[in-house]
Amino acid sequence: MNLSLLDPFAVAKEYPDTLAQTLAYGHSTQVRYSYKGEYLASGLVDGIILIIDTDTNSTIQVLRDHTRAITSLNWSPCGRYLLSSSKDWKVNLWDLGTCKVIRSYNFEGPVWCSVMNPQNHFQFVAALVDNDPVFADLEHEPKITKLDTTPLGQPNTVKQSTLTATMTPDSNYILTGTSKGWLNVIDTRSLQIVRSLSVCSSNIKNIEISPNCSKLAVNSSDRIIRQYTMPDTSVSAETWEFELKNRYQDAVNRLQWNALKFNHNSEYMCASTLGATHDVYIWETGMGSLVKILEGSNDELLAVDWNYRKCSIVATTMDTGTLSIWSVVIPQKWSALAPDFEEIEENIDYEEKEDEFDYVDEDDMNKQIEEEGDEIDVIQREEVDARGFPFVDSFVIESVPVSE
Amino acid sequence: MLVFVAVIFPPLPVCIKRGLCSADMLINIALCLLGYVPGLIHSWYIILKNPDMLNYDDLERQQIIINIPSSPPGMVVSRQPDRTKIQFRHPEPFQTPHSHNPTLVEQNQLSPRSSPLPLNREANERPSETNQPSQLAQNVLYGSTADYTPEEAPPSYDNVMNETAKHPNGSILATASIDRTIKLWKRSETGVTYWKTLVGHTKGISSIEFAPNSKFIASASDDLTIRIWDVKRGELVQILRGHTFHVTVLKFHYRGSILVSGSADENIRVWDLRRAKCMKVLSAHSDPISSLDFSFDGTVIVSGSYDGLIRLFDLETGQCLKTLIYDKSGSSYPVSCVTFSPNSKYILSSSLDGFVRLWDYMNNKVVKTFQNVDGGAVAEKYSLGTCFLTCFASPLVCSGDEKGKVLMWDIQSKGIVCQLDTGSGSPVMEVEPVDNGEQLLTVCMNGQIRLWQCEGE
Repeated sequence: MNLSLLDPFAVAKEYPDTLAQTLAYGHSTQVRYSYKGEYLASGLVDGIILIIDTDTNSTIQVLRDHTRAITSLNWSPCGRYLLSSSKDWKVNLWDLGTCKVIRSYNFEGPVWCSVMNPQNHFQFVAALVDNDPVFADLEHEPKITKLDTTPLGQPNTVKQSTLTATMTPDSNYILTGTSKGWLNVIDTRSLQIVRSLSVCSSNIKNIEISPNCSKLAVNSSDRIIRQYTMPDTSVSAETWEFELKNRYQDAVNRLQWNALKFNHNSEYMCASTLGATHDVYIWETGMGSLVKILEGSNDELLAVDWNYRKCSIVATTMDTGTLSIWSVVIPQKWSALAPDFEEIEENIDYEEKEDEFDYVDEDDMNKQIEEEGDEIDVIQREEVDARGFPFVDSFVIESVPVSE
Repeated sequence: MLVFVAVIFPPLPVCIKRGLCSADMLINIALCLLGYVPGLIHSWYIILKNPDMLNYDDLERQQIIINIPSSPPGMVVSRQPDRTKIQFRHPEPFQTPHSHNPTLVEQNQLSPRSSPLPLNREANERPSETNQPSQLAQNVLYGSTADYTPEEAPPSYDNVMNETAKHPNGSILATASIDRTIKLWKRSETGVTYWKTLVGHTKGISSIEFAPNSKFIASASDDLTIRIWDVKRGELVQILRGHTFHVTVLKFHYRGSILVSGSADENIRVWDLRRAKCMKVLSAHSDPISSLDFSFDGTVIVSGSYDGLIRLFDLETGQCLKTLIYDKSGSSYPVSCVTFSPNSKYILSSSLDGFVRLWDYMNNKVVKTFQNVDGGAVAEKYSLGTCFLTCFASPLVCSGDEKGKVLMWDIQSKGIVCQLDTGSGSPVMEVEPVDNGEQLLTVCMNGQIRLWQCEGE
């Protein structure tokens, strides 16, 4: 509701511009905003997960079970469940209603990353270190299915491993990236590779699908982010066309990109950098032009996430593990403090209006403020806020006041 | 004493009262040179005009005596003698009431100790017309002190009730009063029973609120603190200090991690309950804050103040987003209550000119004005609570008045469709829908609490 009262030009900004806050709650390695952006989960290097309320910036819950660094975090769309993977070989599913682990699975090695099925929070894909990726269903008995790494039509002799995985928002397909630069598309029902694409010849570090499922970005260790048009996931994957739209690289500094994230309508993309600069780069994805470099952090940046509703970007730093948060700064409208204030650009000579100090009859005044007899609806809510996000009720994580 | 000193030497008391080089001193010396009598009269005048310096408590007490000598202790007192009224609780320790004769004893009244209260659904007459008092069945219980013993049969009335809060699912009711206690009542199918008392505040309580998870109660008191209580264990969890004058109103954010409070120190404070810290101070009003509310998505705070302004604040930045003022005749009356409509598109405000208004705040205009019967004032002296009743086919606006009546208006036609008489004759401080409006809780200043059952359309 606040957005409709703010300066529309500030609200219309698509990406943040100012470093607003740095939070130092332990050494964070992974961050993820909940779908509605009201909570931030931060995974620490010692395995603790903090749930931070983004309104107060205080930790409201501390989840302790992992013993090594957190490698990935995933919120369920309802906001109640959190999937975490860690280098202690474990993947945990947390119920934030009780803040307890409700499902857990131990793999035979550290977990690179895990991705929750957006449609079913008990299912996830995990990429394991020196092992084939798995698809796991923990709803009843743990059901773990190994997925192939060898791309279609490639000889089995070339040793490669899957480094990253992601799932399409409709959960029909799994996308995995290998150490030899192959992108594999796996059907979620058959759990077989249905399509393979050679992106480059080096490690694929991240695969990111935009929230509206229109764009796909692949970050590889050859210092290039390749952006493709996301094929229609409702048609069979054999017919998919991957069209390379943009390549993002810093030719001067030869920056390694660390993590990337699309904004909600996939018009912008941000990536954190590893190397000489400590910035987050934001590109406009239509033309592939760089629009903003978020500066201010004094450390190299690792994980990055975009809070769509609040229009802010968070990134973790490598050495200290603090969270840097960039957001849109909205100036105080001084005219809001009194109804008859008016903000002007520059000094103007005041000219008295003809009727300015005329005596106004009280009856006329009454007429002026006379109400209209319109129907007033006090029940029906607006469906979307001024940025176009729907007002939805989501799960509220309990915040217990600390005793003195 | 000084009066006699003035008889001997007129300028001396003036010197004591106003200082050696003050204008009054010079005038007095000049008058003394003219003659003894004018100097003496002026000196007496100065003595009477400048009473002894008092601390705040004394000042209040004195005002209580001056302004309304006939009222029982702990009444609402005007701070500015003209029209601007503000609630003060009596600063003196509360005395267990025995002597005050109850004026109202209903058949179905209940003392806190007695067990289940039968819901007296038969006791109501069918409503024949609008303006008929009992469309709702009545159920009376009296808030009283906890150390109240059964033989003191009729409960007393001079513990002024200020606020009630209801458990989000309506199973527990809480009442707060100037006797510095919070009482919790359990509500069940069979009636309402006294449960327990939370003791700790050192002065009267103005406002209480249940946290959205219903495990905690926050209370605001004249002792400048806000306290957070654990409902189940009945223990104090936190004390929030920061306000420099009486805390008047509280509101929880829907996620329960944020509490906002308004105070007579003219500030609104936003508290982070997790860390027990004040996050922001919103200082934009120039008189005590009387009322606060959150929009349904928790991003906008609306505040009403005795300076006559309604302001909207952004919770995230703490900025003032908008200011509403009803400025019909060049002066604005104190705003005593503000409430967001269920969809947060409108703001219901009552002000001490006696009108309840519905604002379309996006367009800066009043769309509906509600008045008492015969166009009279709803409230001119006290901050009475208002609410929306949404369980009916067309939503209603509800408010108590200062003579013990509860009024319900149809929003579209602005006409009074229902009128309840609490029979207490004292201002209805709070109206609160329970069970989504199936029942209505009313609290009168004399300590009478009623739970009304809604019947019919």
